Amino acid sequence: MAAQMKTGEGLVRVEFFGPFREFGHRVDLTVPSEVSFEELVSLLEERVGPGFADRAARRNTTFILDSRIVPPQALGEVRVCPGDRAAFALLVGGG
Amino acid sequence: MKGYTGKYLRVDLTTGDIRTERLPEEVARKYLGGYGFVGWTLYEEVPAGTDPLSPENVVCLWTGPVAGTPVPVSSKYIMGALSPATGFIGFGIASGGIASELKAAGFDGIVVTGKAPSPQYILVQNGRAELRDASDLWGKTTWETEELIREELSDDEVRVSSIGPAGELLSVLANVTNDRNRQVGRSGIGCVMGSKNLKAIAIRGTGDVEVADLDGLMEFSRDLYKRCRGPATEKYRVFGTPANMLVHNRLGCLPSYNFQKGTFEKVEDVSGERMLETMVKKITACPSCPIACDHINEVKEGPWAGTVSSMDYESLELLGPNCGVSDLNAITKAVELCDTLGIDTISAGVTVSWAMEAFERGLLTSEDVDGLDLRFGNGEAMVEAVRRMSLREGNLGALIADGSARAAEKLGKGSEKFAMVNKKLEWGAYSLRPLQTATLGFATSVRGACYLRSGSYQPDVKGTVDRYHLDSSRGKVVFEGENLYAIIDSLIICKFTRGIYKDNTEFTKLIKLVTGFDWSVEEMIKTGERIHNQAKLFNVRFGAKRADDYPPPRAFEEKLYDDVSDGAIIIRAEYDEALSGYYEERRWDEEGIPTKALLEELGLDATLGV
Repeated sequence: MAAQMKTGEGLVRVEFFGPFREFGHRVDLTVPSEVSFEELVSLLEERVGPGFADRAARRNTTFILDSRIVPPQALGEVRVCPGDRAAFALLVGGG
Repeated sequence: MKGYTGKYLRVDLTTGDIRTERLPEEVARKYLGGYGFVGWTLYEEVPAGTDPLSPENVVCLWTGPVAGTPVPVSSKYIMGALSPATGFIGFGIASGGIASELKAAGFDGIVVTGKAPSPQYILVQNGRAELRDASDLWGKTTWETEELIREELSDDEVRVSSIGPAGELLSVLANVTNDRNRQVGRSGIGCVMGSKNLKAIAIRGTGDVEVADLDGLMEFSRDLYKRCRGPATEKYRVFGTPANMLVHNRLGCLPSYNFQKGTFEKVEDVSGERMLETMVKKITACPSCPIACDHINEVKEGPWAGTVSSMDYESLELLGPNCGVSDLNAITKAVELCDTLGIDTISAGVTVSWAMEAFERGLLTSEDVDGLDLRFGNGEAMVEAVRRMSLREGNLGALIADGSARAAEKLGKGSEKFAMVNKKLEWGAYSLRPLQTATLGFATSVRGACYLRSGSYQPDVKGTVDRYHLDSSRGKVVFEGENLYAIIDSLIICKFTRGIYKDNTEFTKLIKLVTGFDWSVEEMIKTGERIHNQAKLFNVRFGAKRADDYPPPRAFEEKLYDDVSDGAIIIRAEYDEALSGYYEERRWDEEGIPTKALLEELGLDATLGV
């Protein structure tokens, strides 16, 4: 039932929420093919500046790929493909 | 008893009699505190057939064992009554200084019965209590009432829980406010107070609370304080709960236009990030809280300049995107009206959005809405609708003052289908169709449409289940969440701190250090199960059945299309299966009635069991 949230044209759209806003609102990254989470973070570090990888590595980071939150233990298996939409945010809890 | 004062006040407003009663230790061991004590009180004292607005209804205020101790974020209290909104158990939990002040005054709780002949308030001070005249306070806002009582007592430290005009006018959505910005929000507890001519409860205490192991508790509390300043709570400290806006929009579960969509095209304008940049005047904390999540907005310009109100996710979302409104000034004004006039922001937002949809569909005429242009997105009209509903003013106020379910019953014309309620209480700010485990948890909650009883949205948003479908296994998720949350709500600690406890053994450690109860995790969870079943039994007494545990028709009858969802809908057969799975997990029958065997095992009254 989830809509296809593809951006098209070989781009990955990455949005920044919460404290990640210090790196901008969003960027469109060109990726050659599918990349791992680590590779995505490295590409973003090059693009938005130093400090991003450190911020992303903190354990209260929530990574959203298309329309679901990726559990921290599953980040190693993530493959981000051209056309995907990703977001970095603070831990989602109650409230 | 350690962690408890072992005493509570019983106030009969009809006779003016006030007595101190002993809290039996077996009750503390069986129900722990807070939520557990509300269920116990109501089940013991409110018989079947009671009219919620009659003197026979009871309104009670309870603390938990941790209130008044060094445990962080523990100054929380609960108020309960037979709800005039739902006809079932009603309760709400609020932070602020009331709980620690009551314990310091020497009481664990207050149980109020009867009806005062004229407006009165209860004053509790160090081991004694009295009724005082509140005639001059009647008609005042909650903020004015707090200030006037402090002036009257010449004591700036006195804590006050009060109702506003909405409670006096017997709106079933009326809440209770303390410390200006903290509310016992849901279930219409303010309406029950209004029906009893009880304007406020004022409390001042200077005593101590004895705990079982003070040295151990101090050491554990120091560790918990450090954790409260760590990564698990950063979201609350910096952005407050409005940080949820962009995330929920990204996940497609941010209700907009009366739950017709799960995304909002102007979400950036009402995000927590934008609010922090442009509106937040200061960030404050409750007593004993190192997190400080309370974000106070100030309107800086325009017709509402100078308006100040506390903003959380639910209020922002439901008075904002769910009404199609992207004007933070208007939302801040609407929250201020709710807080001062004494009405629940969740029910207010969902009720106004229902009226907006009815207006846009042509079911409400211009005359019905007093000439307001009540289309989605009109912030000024939203604010005026909130004011009118709080004061029962004009045709619109008369129609919507008691919420969307009753308004839809009056209007008819199919508007019942888009009244977003469960048990006649308005749904929280989580979209139904893309969060189907959450929907099961909300709809089965004893209070009605409740997002705070089980955390059942977590597996949905974390992707550990298929959130667009249901099956019988989801019942276990809700069951386990409810049992643990029953403990959290009985202790009572802030749910924002649940992430700082490493696992359930730390809750048993906390309980032992405070009360001396040496429980295993299994015993603690069993206590949570007992507390939940006691609340359910109260609902059974008032006729609860399977049909009460369903979400509103929109969930089953309209597909959801937005930027994330492509035709999402809840399949009724799947929901039926999940609901039966939940009942099975709970050992309830197919109508949701607990079995006698279960009730006997839990030490509860088995009379109503099957």
